Amino acid sequence: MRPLLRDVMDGAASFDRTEALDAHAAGCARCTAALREARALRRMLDALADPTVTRADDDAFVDAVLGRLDGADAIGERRRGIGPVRLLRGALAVGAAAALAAVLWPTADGEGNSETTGVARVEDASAAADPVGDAAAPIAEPVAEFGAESVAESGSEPVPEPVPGPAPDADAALEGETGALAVEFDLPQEDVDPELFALALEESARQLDFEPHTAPDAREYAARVQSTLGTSPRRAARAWLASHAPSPRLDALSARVLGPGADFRDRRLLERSLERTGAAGRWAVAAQGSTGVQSLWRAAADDPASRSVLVALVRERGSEAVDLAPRGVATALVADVARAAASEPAERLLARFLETGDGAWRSAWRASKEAPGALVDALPKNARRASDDELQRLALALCDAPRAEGLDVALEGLLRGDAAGTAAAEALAALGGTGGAEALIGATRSGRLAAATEDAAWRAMLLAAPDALVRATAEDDAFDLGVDAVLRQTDGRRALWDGALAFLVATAEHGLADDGARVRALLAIAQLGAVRPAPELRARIERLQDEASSGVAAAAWLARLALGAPEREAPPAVRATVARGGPVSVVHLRLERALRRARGPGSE
Amino acid sequence: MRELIPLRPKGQSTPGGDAEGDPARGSALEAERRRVQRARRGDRDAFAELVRVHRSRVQRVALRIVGSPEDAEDVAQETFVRAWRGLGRLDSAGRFGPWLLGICVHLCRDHQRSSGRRAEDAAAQLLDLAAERADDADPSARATEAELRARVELAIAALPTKLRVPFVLRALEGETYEEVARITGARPATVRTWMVQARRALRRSLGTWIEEEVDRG
Repeated sequence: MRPLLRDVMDGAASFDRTEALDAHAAGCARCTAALREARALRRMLDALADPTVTRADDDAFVDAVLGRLDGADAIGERRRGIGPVRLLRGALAVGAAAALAAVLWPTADGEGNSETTGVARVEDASAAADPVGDAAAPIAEPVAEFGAESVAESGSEPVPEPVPGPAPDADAALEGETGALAVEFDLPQEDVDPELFALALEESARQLDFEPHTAPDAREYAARVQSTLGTSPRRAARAWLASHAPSPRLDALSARVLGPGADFRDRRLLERSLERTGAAGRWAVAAQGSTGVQSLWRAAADDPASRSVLVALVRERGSEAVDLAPRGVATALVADVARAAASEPAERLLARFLETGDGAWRSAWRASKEAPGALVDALPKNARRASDDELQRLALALCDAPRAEGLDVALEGLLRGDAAGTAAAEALAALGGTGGAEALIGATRSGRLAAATEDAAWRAMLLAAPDALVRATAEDDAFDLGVDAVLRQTDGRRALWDGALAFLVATAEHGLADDGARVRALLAIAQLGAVRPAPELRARIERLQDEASSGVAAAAWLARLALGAPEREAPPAVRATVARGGPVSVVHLRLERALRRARGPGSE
Repeated sequence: MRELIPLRPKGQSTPGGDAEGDPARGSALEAERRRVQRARRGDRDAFAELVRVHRSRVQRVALRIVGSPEDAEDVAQETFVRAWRGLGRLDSAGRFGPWLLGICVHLCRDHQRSSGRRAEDAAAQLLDLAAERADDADPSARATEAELRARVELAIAALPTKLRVPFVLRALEGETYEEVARITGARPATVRTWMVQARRALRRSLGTWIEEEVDRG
C-alpha cells in the first residue's frame, strides 16, 4: 500500500488506484489513518497561496535580463554586493510612485468635490489651500496604498516623502499672511496688522459675498472694518470657517489661528472643514493633543492629505504619534505611515510585528535600512521570553533577513547568552525542547563554542530537557557526540546525573541508534557509577539485557552492575558474548573483569 | 493598488508537465522548442519570450528555496543569464524548462551556502519550539486558514535544503521523480527517500494542524 499512499500524497494517484486504496483502507485501520493524514497534508499543500508578482514587474524583469546580456552584466558583477534587482527595484519604485501619484492622487476642486487628478493639479490645489509655501507643500508621491501590499513589500528603500511642516504659531501665521496681503493689496506693511486682518475675516464672514481679491479699494475697506468692528483673531477665524465662503487662503489661515488651544466647538469646526483647509487644517487638528491626532488617524483612511500630515507628525514625534492611532484604524495604514516617516526605529517596527503578528508591520520593518540590525538585537531577548506565536513570527523574520550582518553572532547569542555558563543555560532552556537541543548539537558539532560555554549549555539542556536532547541527537544522528558530551558533564549534581542517565538510557533504547552508540551509552552509564537511578530507569536498563544484540545486552548488564543491581550473575547472553571472544574490545575486557568479580575469586 | 498576478494559477499544469493527450500543450511545447532553437542561434527576442514564459516558475522555485523575494528575483535573473550563456550545452530543446530549473536550483544552493544556514536552522528551531507548545495549546485557539497557510509555508521553509529542494520540485511544482533526480543530480530512489523524509518532517512540525485537517476532512 505504501506506493499507493505515496501517490496520494503526491497528488498523482489515478482514480483506479485511489479506489483500490480506499477499498483496502476500509478494512484496515492503520491504512485508513495513514490515508487520512496523507490527504490532509495534500489538502494543506494545495491550499498554499502561490507567491505573486506584479505584471509590471514582468517587463522590467525581462528588460533587466536582456540588459545584463547586453553587457551590463559586467557592471552587475562589480556591483554584486548591491544586487541588480535591488538597484532596479529602487529605480522602479521611484518611477512607480511618481506614476501612482499622477494617477491616484485624489484632491479637491474648488467646490470641495473630490476627484482624481494629476500631480500638477495636486500641487496647484494644495498651493491654493495653504499659502504658507514650502512648509506646507503637499506630498507629491503617495508612496503606498493602504492595502496588504505596500511598496514596502517590494523591498526597496523607503523614499522620504516631502511633507508639510508643522503649522507656525498663530502670531507668525498672521504676520506672514498680513505681509502677503500687504503685497497683494499694495498696502504699506505697517498698515496691515494682524488685528486688522482678523477684522477683515469676520467682516467677510458676515458679508458672504465678500471677495478680498476683487475689493475695489482694499485700503478703504480695511480701515472701515477696523473702525466699525472689534473682535479677536480667534473669533474672526471661527466666523470665517463657519461662513462656508470659498477662499483657500483665508481657510488655511483661519485653521491655523484656531489650531492651538481650540475648544470643543473649534475642534468640531476644524474637523468639519478639512476639505477646505488643506494641510494647515490638518495640522490644526493635530495641534489639539491626543484627541486631535486620533481624529487625524481616523480621517487618514480616506484622506491622503491627512496621511501626509501624519507622516510629518510621526517624523516629529516618533512612536508617540504612532501609538495614538485608535483601534479600528487599519494596521496597514498605521504601518505605512510609520514606514513613510522612516522615523520609527526598525526595532520598534519589528517589536510591533512580533507583538501583533500583523504583516504590515513586518513589511514596514523589512523596508527599514536597519532591519537586519534590529533582528540581530531582537533575537536573544525575544527567544527567551517569546510566546509560541511570537516564536513563529521571529522565525518568519529570520527567513526575511538570513544574511543580516551580525546574525551569526546573534544566533550564537541564542546559544550562549552574553556570558558563558548561566547565560547559555538560560538561552537554551528558553529555546527549549528539540529546538534548543538541535541548536546545541549544531553548535557543538561546529566546534565554535568555547569549551566552558559548551559544557554549561549541555548541563543546562540535561537539566531542562533530556528527552528533547535524545530526540535531537536522533534527528541529527549525533548519538556519539551526545554521549561524549554528556559524559563530560557529571559534576556531582544529582539533578544533572538524572538528566544524563535519562539521556543515556534513552539513547541506548533508541531504534535509530546503531549498536555501537547504544553500547557506548550503556558503558557511559556504567562509568557514571554510584548513581542511584529512578526505579523506572533501572527497569528500562534491565529490559535492555534482553536485547537481541548481545553487545547491547552485555553493556546493559554492566551498567546495571555499576548502578548497584542486586543480582551479580551474568545472564546467558552476556556469558555467550564473552565466550565468543572476538576482537579485544573495551566491552569484552570490562565484561570479563565484571564476570570475574561476579563469580568471585577463582572463577577464572 | 498594484495589479497582482499569481505566479502559478491554481489548476494550471506546469511547463514541465505531461503533454501527452493534450494537443494544446503539445503545440505549446513545440513552439517552445522552436524558440529555444532560435535563441540558440542568438535570437534575443526568442529568448525574451522564453524568459516571459518561465520567469514565474523559476522565481517561484527560487523563492521557496532561498526564502527572500529579493534574493529569489536575483537568483531568477542570474538563472536566465546563465541559461543564455549555456544554451549551447542544452542537450534537448524540449527539456528547456527542467534544465532551467536545474540551473536555478544550483544557484539557490550557491546562495544558501554563501548566506549560511544558521538563520534557516534557527527558524527551524523556533518552529519546533512553537510546534511543541502548540501541542499543548487550547483547542479553542485554533489557527485560522491564513495562519494555517503561514504555518505550512514556514514548515516548508524550515525543511533542510537537502529535503526542501526535491520537495518543492516534486510536491509543489509537480516534476516527476526522474526529472527531480536529473535536476538534483541524485538517483530517483534517493529522491523518493528525500520525499519520505520531507513529509515526515512536515508531519512532525505540523502535527496538531494535520490532525485538525484530518478532523475537518
